[in-house]
Amino acid sequence: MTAGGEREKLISLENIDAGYDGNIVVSGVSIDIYRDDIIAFIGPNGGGKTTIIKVILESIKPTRGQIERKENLKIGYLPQINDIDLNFPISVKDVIISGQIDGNRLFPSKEAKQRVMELLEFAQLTDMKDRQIGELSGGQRQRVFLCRAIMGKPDLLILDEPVTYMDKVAETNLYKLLPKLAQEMGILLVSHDIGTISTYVKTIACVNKSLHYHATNKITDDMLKIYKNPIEIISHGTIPHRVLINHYRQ
Amino acid sequence: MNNIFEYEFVTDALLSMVFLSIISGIIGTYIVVRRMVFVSGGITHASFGGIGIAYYLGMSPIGGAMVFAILTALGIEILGKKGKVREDSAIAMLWSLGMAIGILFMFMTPGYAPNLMGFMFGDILSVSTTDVISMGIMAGITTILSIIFYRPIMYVAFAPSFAELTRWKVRFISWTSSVFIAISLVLAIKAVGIILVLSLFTIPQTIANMFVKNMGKMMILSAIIALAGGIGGLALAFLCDLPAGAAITVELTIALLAVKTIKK
Repeated sequence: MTAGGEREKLISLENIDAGYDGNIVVSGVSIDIYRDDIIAFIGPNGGGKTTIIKVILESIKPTRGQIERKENLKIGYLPQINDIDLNFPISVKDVIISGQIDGNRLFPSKEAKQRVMELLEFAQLTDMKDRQIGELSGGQRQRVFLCRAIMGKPDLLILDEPVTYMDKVAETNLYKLLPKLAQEMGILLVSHDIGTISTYVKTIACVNKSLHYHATNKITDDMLKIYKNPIEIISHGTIPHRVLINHYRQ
Repeated sequence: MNNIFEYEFVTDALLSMVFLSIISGIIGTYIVVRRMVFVSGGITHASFGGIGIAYYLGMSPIGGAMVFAILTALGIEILGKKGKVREDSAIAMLWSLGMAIGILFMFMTPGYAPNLMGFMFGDILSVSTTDVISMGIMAGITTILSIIFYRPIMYVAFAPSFAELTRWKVRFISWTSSVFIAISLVLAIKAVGIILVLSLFTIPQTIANMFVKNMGKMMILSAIIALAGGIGGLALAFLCDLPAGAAITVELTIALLAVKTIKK
């Protein structure tokens, strides 16, 4: 990638193995993420995209490898389909406030209340602020969760399959918020949908089980030759690439 | 006719109803929104084991119930999370185990059998001054803590896994809440009985939720509804010589059906 020290590095994974209950899901993952990044993690279901996210979020510990974080790295997270109860008596405003990344604050500060209003405006949800969360459409609700994720002004925003079960219009409404956010924070977007996201991201990382990070933004013939990669890699086309590909170890 | 408030048992019953309404308004709302009704049923019934053992040892039955209820509440949390037992199965097992232990120990207790009906269906007209005071203290503590910790409690109940990411002490909050649930349910047993406790912790909340969609308002409104239902039930019991707990339950259910019909 770009040489020089101007880019602010947020997190760096080096040679990470991770999984659940002793089963390694991904291995040898290396990637650096910078504040000016908009990266898409693409790859098949079960390929380990969410596992890497969990490592970054510190909700699982890698079994091998090194992680380096920027000091006080704040991460905002939009989870893949929420396990929430739509009947829960909580308002849109309160859901957003709950994203404050400060577990010791019992009451929202004045700034927090101010920030909620700005976020509501930003996501075009101002009219809905006092509605109960279940009264919103799926797309609106996902924008609420996006606001919740960025409430604490994170350095890095992670969106895990944010548009599952959403129609195209709702999808666009969500994605078109990203460029503005990208001015302030690094963005990591997880998707199994290669087509749509390419317009919104700068780089792409392919994730499939046994992984390796190639510090290049293009796929070269050499790379394909050396790693005997599956054909699918080529189909990613002309978009600048960061590739985490299937390795055939020799 | 004498002024009914001259009887101490009437004022005690009324006061305990006021305190129980506050407790059930707050704790019941938490139970309902977190979908912990079945868990609460398990805790309530399992506490009967403590009552049996306490009788056998000649100790305070409510104290025994309290210990059993708290252990059950924590047991369900632990079995469900660490023991890899399905939560509803864990609840059912502890539910019946507690009842079985209670029956066994009562059976083994020599002499006069305790008033089983009282524990099953409650006897609010026989609450002691100590009971009233403990309910009052519990109502006070619950109110204060739920105001201070309103947001953490709400966030953890709404989205526990997300709350963990935002650095709330999720497990601590869940466990503390479970202990509060256990204590509240046991305190209510004296008044409305093991079998009827859940009505006080679910029906007013369900009615309240038809009018308000905010957890705090739901707590306040369900306390008011519980109090209205409780006093109505007490009056009915007093005037027609009926068991109060059952009267309260039936009355609240009728109110729920009425509201449902009208609100359609």
